[in-house]
Amino acid sequence: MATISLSSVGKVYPGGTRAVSDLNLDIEDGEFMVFVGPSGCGKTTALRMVAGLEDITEGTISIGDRVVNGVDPGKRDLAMVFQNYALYPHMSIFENIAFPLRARHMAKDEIRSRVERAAGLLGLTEYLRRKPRTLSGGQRQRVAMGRAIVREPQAFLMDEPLSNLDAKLRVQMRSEIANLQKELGITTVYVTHDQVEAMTMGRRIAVMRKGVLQQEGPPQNVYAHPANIFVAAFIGSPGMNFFEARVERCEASYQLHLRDQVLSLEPGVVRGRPSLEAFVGRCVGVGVRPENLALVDESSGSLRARVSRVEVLGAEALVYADIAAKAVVADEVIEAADSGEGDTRAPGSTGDEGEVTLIIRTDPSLEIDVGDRIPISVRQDRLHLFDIGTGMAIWT
Amino acid sequence: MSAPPSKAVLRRRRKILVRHVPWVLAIPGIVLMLVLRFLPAVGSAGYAFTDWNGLTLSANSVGLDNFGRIFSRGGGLGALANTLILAGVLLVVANVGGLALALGLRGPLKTRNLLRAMFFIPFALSHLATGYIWQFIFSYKGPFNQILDGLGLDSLQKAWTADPQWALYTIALVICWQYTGLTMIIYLAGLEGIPEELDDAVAVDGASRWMKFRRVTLPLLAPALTVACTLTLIWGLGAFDQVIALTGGGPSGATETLATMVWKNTFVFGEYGYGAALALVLALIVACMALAQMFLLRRREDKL
Repeated sequence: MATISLSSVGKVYPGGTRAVSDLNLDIEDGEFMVFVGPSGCGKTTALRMVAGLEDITEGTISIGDRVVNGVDPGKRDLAMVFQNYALYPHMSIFENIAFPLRARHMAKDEIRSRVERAAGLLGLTEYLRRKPRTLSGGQRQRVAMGRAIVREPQAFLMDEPLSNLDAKLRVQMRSEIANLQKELGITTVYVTHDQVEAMTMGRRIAVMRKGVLQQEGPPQNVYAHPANIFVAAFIGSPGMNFFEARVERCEASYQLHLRDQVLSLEPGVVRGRPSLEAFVGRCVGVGVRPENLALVDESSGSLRARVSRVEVLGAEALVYADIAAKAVVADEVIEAADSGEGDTRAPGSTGDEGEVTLIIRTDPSLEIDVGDRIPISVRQDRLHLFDIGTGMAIWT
Repeated sequence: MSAPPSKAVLRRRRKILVRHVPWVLAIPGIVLMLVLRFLPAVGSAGYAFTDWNGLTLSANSVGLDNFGRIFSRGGGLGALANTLILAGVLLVVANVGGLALALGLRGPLKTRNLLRAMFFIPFALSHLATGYIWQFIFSYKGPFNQILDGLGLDSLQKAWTADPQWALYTIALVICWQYTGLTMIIYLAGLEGIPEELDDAVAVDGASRWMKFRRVTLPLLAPALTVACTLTLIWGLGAFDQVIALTGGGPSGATETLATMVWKNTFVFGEYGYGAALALVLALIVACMALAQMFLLRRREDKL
């Protein structure tokens, strides 16, 4: 077990394509770190650089106290689990798991006992004589895990290991991997494009976009305090609602002016953000998560919207309601929306011309019909404001 | 008017159609193969038991005499040995060489496409024509001996294709040069079929190059190995063009192969019956060895 440190790490491919820029990250001993982001964001390249499967163009990578920039993958003492399992198809399950031990010329008895222990831990004992092709996807995934844990390496690297499994099995394997990691206490770097996977498995997540680390921290922290509009849009399902509003001063406070409605900001929101003063008269991006919007009485609603669709999901209902406002059309939001899984619409997408569709997570027992004009309240302590020019969150 | 057929009837008809259509489509090809390839071969096999000279209208049955001649001293035994030597050398050299070239030219070498083309070209050229070029190269005053002379190795100079000790190996060298490019392509295709993730897994698992080759690459090349070995064995057993071009079977029969004997006895010496017997023996040897080899190699494939 060891720490992994990436210091100013960059990667430029021979054609000149930059895959990773100035990546700085310290992964603690025994930590479960998840790299998450849309396709092409550089997360897999970063992982492969840690593994030694890609050369580093800039910076240093250290495992423990050792700088491993020029060290062969096999000498880094890491184990990797691949997207397509990468099992040796002609070998039995036993031989697959034993392979890295044989590569280290371990004694036969030791190999047998280690393989059997790993197989027992993963419920593979009865399959040891079989070939990978005779196993299901989930079982193959376990074999790949077995090949990783049998080594007792310094760290596990996992490259989208669940993406080939069906949804139900993915959920099951998610918790199995997380539990196994906790049990073994081995430093783990896990790559996924699925933000639900990242949120549920990682002790810390690192959100990447276009080769640049956007934000890192505990999942709940990133969810509650996204550093920029991309992170806000990417994390969460359904995604955050976005619309543009003009900031205007109103006595000691501020108001957000939509096309035909005004949302008065509560003193608490304003007090924490003195820099809002600089945005007076300008448009900002407003973000609010579906669970932070609520359907309320006529008298207490701060916004009004027209219901365009209702999806009852059993434990909750998603109400799609249109308000007259300008959509946030930043590249970051579009990219995050395009890569979203399970989200039913792009966050901030427009309903009709000049309208934005908000998603409200609500009680399924409420009787709401399409076409209703409904009053909505906004939890302002969970309101997110973004500088449209830079995409950065306005937190100060 | 009769009622339209029920769904069950339609389903049954569809099933019959699906089962038979492939056969119907294959029939023209099968008929052509039978008429143009198999029937003449089987028909000519009948002449192997006669003394027909290829010109007269009648032929006398001679029983197994023609086969006795083949396996007698001074008959076809020398040619059989030469054939097996050529096939053995080609099988080993073309496959080891082709595999080595494929492994070498798989990596990120800048000139790999040029080199691949260079190694493949000999196979694409006319074997007879290149055979004559090699005959010139290996002649006593040819470029090969001149190079030896230039290197101060003039004591090694000889008429390579006219020396009974060296002529067969000279032919073997040319045949290997010609076929190694093709086996290289077959192995390259096989290597392309191995997922890149396995290379990464082997690298992270810390296996040495030799372990990777022996335990991962070679077993996964089993299908390519079957194809390449079977083809080289068949080509080696049927070696003809290069022998005719380089030595014509000489000197004094030292490089005669079964294929050249078939041709000479049938079309030069007018012994069609004997030629047919030789052809039959050659066909049986090729079939038996190729099938045995395929059977053995397929068992390796089954492990995949």
